[in-house]
Amino acid sequence: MRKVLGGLCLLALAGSGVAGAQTIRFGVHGVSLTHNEVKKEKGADGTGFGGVTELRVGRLHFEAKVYHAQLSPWLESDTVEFKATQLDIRVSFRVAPGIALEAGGGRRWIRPELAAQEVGFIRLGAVSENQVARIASVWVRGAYLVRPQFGGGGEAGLAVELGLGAGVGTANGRFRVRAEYEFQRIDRRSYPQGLEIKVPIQMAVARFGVELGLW
Amino acid sequence: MKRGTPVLCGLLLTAAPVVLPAQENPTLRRAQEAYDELDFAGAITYARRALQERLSRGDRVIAYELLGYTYGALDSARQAVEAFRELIYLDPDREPDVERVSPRITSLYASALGQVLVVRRVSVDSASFVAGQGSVPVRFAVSRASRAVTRVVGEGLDLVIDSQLVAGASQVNWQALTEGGDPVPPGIYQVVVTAVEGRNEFAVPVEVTVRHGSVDTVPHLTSLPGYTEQPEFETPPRNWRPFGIALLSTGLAAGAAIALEHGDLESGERHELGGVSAAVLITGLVMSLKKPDPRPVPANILYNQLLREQLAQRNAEIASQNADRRRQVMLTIVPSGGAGP
Repeated sequence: MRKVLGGLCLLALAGSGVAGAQTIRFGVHGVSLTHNEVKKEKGADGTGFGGVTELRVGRLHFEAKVYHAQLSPWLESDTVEFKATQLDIRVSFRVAPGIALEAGGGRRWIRPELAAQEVGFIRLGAVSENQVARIASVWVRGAYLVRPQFGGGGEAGLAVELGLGAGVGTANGRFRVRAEYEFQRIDRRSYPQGLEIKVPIQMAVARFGVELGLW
Repeated sequence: MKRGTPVLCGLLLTAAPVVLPAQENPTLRRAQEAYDELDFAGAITYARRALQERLSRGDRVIAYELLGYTYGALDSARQAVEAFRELIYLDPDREPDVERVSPRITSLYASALGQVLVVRRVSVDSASFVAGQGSVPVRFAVSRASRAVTRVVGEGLDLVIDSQLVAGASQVNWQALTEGGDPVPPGIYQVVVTAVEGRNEFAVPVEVTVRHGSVDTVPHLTSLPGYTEQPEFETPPRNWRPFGIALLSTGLAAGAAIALEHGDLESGERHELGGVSAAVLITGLVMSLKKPDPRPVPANILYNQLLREQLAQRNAEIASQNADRRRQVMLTIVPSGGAGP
């Protein structure tokens, strides 16, 4: 957690030091999270909070997001509540009007450990953002998660994520509200004692928050 | 009067001027009365006698005119011409009224005019102009072909502004500048037109007043005549594009998310997806329903930019012209005196 906060601080400092930046935004989010693993009954959901730092310079867009949520299992037998913290970093470059290629990474920590799988991954994808009005935009994103790493070991076959979001703000960009959905599916397989076991992971996050633009 | 020509005399008398200006000299008045009573011998006697007395210039003019008419009526051409010559020297601009006197008298007057050298009908127009950029016309006529020298005298200046051979009417333009090219100082000047023919010369001065004034400056333009600025922003008509994009994005993302859900993990509850999808759709709907934002019109912006550049250029030219105008002098020239030999 300390690493995450340290990283965010560094990003904020790096962002504030860019004189030619077009937009720098900081925001706080409320988060709703649903996490599934192994089978549909073995899920958990909960709420939490998060934050975002965003920097736009020309065609380049940098974004760092973090959330922390407390999840409650659905099954009464799984009485252990756990906490999930995830950091996502994305860098995108606009290649055509409304279309950008995206790369980045992510890491999800679970406490207590082994209550769910911790995951780290690299993402490669694309994002389409449309300015539907001078003050509003809608975006859709999709990414392939490259070689996810798991706390409990194993490897992944299909690993993708999708996103949908909308932002509405003031014309000068000082203030904005955001609603964003992220869906992640990782088909994890583990091999305890040489035996392949399918342990898929699926997660959906909704964020609603406010952001403040500095430039 | 010649008794043998009563008919001719009668014709001449009916055409002769009956009313002459009132005379102050009694002798001249008696000459006029005699002329009115067709006592031509008496008219000549009294007119000659009056001329030997101290007469004003106006009375001398009337006396010679009376003699001219009387000798004309008596068919004494030589004496009539002599009287008219004296009249012309005294007042070159005084002419018999062709509507009221007989053609014979008119022709005698013309004959007298052809024998003398005088400058007639000298006039200077009223004019206002920027010094160095205009002139005032000086009009005159000479009775015989001669050299006409036009001078301006006054305020310490004596400038010859023109010298030319003239026959009949002519015109000279006076720029009201000194030899150095500066405007003449304000004051009263005499424009003297002198006709020279051999040893004969005749000069007529006309008094003019020269006044200095400032040249009006041109006001700056706020717009170019005939051109108006175009609106740089226009509000497009309301459209459903925002909602369409939101619907498409939501459908794409939600459909893909549902399709990608793992079969073993399908929970059927998709609160996150539902909530954000609703937010996106509402955003699109509101953006479609609200009044669209004004959009810049590049062609109009460029047009206005060119217009402003033209306006700025024109105003810069006006400013430059005004700077010059503030250094210039507006000359107003008004004739202030009558012509006379």
